[in-house]
Amino acid sequence: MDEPQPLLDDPWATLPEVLAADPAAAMVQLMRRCGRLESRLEESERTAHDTARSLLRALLDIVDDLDRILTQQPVRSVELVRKKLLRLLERQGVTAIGVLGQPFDPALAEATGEEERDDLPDETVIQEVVTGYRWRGEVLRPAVVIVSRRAAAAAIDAPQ
Amino acid sequence: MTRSIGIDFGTCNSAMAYMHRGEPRVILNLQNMDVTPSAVSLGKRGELLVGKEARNRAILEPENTILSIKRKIGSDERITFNGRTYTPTEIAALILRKMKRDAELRLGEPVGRAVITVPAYYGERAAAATREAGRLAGFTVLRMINEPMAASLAYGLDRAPEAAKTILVYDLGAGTFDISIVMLVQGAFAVMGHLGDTHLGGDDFDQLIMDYLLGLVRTEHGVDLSQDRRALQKLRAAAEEAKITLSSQSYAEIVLPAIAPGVDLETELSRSEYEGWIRPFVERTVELVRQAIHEADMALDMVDHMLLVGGPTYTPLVQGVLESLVGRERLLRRVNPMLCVAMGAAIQTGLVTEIDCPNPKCNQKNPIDAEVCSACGRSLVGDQKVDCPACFMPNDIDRRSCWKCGTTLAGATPPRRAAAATWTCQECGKPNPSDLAACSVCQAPRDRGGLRCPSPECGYVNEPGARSCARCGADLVRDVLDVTAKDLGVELHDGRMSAIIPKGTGFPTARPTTRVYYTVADSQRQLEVAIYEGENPQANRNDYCGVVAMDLPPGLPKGTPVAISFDLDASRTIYVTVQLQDGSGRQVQARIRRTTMPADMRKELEQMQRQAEKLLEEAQEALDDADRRNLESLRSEVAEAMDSGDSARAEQALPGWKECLAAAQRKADTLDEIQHVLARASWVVGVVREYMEKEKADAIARMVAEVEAALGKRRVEEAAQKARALSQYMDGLGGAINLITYCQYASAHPSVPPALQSRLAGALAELKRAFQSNNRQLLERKIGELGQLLDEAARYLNVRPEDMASGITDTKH
Repeated sequence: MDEPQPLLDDPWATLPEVLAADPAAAMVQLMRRCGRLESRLEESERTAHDTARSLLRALLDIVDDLDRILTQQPVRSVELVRKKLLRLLERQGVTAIGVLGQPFDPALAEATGEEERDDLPDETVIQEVVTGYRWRGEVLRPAVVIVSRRAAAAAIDAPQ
Repeated sequence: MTRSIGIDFGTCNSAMAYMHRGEPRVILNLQNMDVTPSAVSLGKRGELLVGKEARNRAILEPENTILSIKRKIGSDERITFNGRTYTPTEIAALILRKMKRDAELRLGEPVGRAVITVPAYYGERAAAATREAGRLAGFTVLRMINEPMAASLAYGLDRAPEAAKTILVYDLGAGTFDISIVMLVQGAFAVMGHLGDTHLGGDDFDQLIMDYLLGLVRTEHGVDLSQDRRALQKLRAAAEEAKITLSSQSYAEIVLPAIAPGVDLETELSRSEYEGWIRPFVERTVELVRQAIHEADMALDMVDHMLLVGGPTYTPLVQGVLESLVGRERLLRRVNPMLCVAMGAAIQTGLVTEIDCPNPKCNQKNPIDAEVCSACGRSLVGDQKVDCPACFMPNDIDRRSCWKCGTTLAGATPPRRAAAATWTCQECGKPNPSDLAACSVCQAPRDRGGLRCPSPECGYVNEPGARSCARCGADLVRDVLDVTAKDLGVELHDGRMSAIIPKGTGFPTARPTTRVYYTVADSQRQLEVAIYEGENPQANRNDYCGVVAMDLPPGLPKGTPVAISFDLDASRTIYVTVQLQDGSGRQVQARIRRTTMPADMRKELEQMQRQAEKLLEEAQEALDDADRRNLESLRSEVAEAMDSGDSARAEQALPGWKECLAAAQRKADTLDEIQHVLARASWVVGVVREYMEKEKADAIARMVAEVEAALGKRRVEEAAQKARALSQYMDGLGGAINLITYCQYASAHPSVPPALQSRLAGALAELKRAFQSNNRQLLERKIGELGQLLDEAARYLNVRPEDMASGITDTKH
C-alpha cells in the first residue's frame, strides 16, 4: 500500500472570503439559520396537526351517519364500511371516550339534558347523544350526553 | 423576568396572545382552543369550572353558570354564585385567572403582566372594574386599551405615515355588534363615535340555517325533529359547517342520512338563498354604520380604513356589502378577525415604555424592566396568588385567611406553574439556563416580547419598551397615545362647564394645560374648583371627578386671576395645580384618581375629608387627644376608601365617621362661640371703655378672666356658660356701646373693603371728638351715621361660610 502523497499543489485555490471568514461567526449564523428552520418546521407541524384534526372530525361525522343508519336497519355491508372506517381512525390514534355509565366529566363531555333516575348515582351519563373521541392526548371531539338526576339529589349530593 | 400577554376579554369568548419573535402569536388554552368561553360554572363536587368546561356543564347547573359577565361589569349588580355574593369584577377575575394559568403552562414561564382590552364605549367605572379584575387575578396591568385601538394596532395602522387616519371598526361578534369610529393622528388615538346593538350577532345566522333544516324535514318527511336531542345536535353541527362552507363556496351540501327513522336528509343550500335570509341582519348593521358616521358628524368618504373584527365578518355577504359601501381598498381583512383584538393587545405589551405602580397611594412611574416599584417596593411583575378553596378568589400568597370569605388558607397551595428551568433560544434553538439573558451559543438575546425592527434588512427583535432598534438604530417608537374621549374641565360659579383639556387631546400629556380664571367676589376667602368630565355645557350633568379647594388671603379684589392647570398621565389620573396670581405665588396641588366610586359618595367623602382637616387645623384647642386621634384615623381611612374605590366598605363605615365628625364639630362650635364672645369683650374693654362707666368695664374684665380660667382648665362647658353670661351682660350695655364696638370691629376687619373701612374710621374719630367735647347733637348725628355705615359693612361681616363665594369665572368682570 502506497503512502499518501502530501498535496503540494492545490489545484483549487481557497476563496478569499472563506479564508477571511470567522469560524465562530459562521457557526452562529449557521445555528441561527437552523433555529429559523426549526421554528418554520414547528409551524408547519402545527398546521399539519390542525389539518389532520379537521379531517378526522369530518370522518367522525361519517361514523355518526353510519351509526344512525345501522340503528335503523342493520345492513351487513354498511356495518363493514363502518368497521373499516373505525379501524382506519384507530390506526391514526383516534379512540372513543367511553363515558356511558360514568360520572359526568365536563372536561370530556357536554351535557345536553338530564333525566330523573333514582336507580343511579346523581350525574351519571345515561345516554351518549354524540360519541366523544380522543386523539394524541387531546379531546378531538367532546361527547354530548344526557345525565341522570336524582329527584332528591340536591339534599344528598350538595357540594360541600 | 416575567412575560406580558394581551387579553381580549370578550362577552362570549376571551382570547390571549403574546409577542413571539417580534410578532403577536395567539396562546392556546389547555383545551387547545384559541378562545376561552367567558363562562364560569360549578362542578359536581363544588369545584370551579371556567371556560369550555363551564359551558359543558351549563345545562346541569343553570343557577350557578354565569355567562356574559362582561355586560355587567362596572355595575352595582351582585351575582350569586355557589351560595355567595360576587361582584361582576370578581367573576371576571376568575376567568382572567384561568387564562393567566393556561398562559403560564403554555409558555412555561411566569406571566405577570397584561394589557387588557375594553370596548370603546366603556365608562370610567367599567374600565376601572376590568383593570381591578386583572389585578385580582394576579396581573400587573400594564395598560387598558380599547378594542378598536387594539384592532388598529393588529393591522399596523399606527405605523402609517403622518397624515391623520379615520378608521371604522366593524365588530360583529357571536352575540353583539359594535361600531367604533376612531382617529389616529401622529401616534395619538381618539374615539370619535360609537354605536352598537348588544343583541345582534353571528349566532343569529346559525339559527336561520337550523330553522330552515327543521322546516325542510317537517315539510318533506312530516317529521318534527325539534324535540329529538340527537338529531338537533347533528343539525346544529351541520348548520355551522354549512355556514363556514358558504364563506368560501357558493353551495353547501348538507347530507345527514338517517337523521330520524326513515328520514334521509339531503339538501343543497346555495349562498344566494342563505344570503337572502341574513340580508336583513346585514342591512341593519350597515344602517348602524351610516348612523354612527352621521352621529360623529362625518361622511362615509372621510373613512380611510374599515377593519373587520369578529368571526361572523368572514361571511362573504358582510364583506361584499361593506365593500360596496366603502370600496375594496378601504376594507381591510388580512388579520384573523376573531383574534385581532388579542393580537393588538399583545403588540401593546411591546410598546409600553413605562409602568405605573399599581399601588393606589404610590403611582410612581417605573422603567419597564423594573421588577418592583422604586418608591414603594410593590411588585411590578404580578402577584403570586393562592386560590381560596371556598370562594375561589385568588389571595396574596402570604395571607392566612381569604379576604373575601375568611376561609383559612393554610391548606391551599399555589397553582402549579411550569417553572422554566431553561429557555430556548429563538435564534438557534439552544436551551439556555434561565438566568442567562443571552444565548450561550449565538449570543442572541432572550426574546422577552419586544417589537421586531420594521426595517426589512434588520428585523431584529428588541427588548420590550425599546425606543429604537438596538441593532440598526431604526425608529421603533410608535407608542400610541390615547386620546381623551370627553372634555375635562371645571365648573364656573354659574354652573357652566369650562373645558381645560378638550376632548381629543392625546395623553399622557407632555406638559400641563393651563387656563386662567378669576375670583367672582371682593374679599373672596376660598376657592372650590370642582372638576368634571363630559360635554354637557352644564357642569353637573357631566361625570364628577373631584374637587380642589384653596383658602384665599383676605382682602383680594374681585377678578383676581387664578391659573388652573391639568396634567393627565397614562392611567388618566389628573394632576391639578391651582395657582393664585396675586404675586404671592400661593398654590395648591392635587392628584385626582379615577375610581369606581359613585360621584355622590365621593363628594360626601371629600366633604368629610375637608371638614376633618379644617377641624384638625383650626380647632386644636377644642379637641382633646382622643378627638385628634379619631380625626387623624378617620382622615386616613377616608383617604384609603377613596383610593381603593371600595364603596361597599365606605358605605358601612359612613355612620361611624359621621358621628365622629359631628362630635368634634360640636366641640369646635362651642369653642368658636366662646372665642367670639371673648373677642367682642376685648373690643369693648380695649377700645370702647372710654365711652362707659369704669365699673362696667371692670365687670367685663372680671368675667373675661373667669372664662379664660375655665378654658385654661379645659372645662369647655363651664367656659361656655360663663361666656354666655358675659355676652348677655354686654348686650345690656346699650345700643350705642354695641354699635361703636361693632363699628370698631368692622373698621379693622379684612373682609370689609378699604374704602368703607376708612369711612368707618373717619366717622369713629369724629364721634370720639364729639364725645370728648360733649357735643350731644353731633354725637347723635354721628351715631346715626355709624348705624348706616354698619348696615353697609354688615353684608361683608355676616357671611356664613356656606354663603361665601367660592367660585371662579372665565371673564374678568
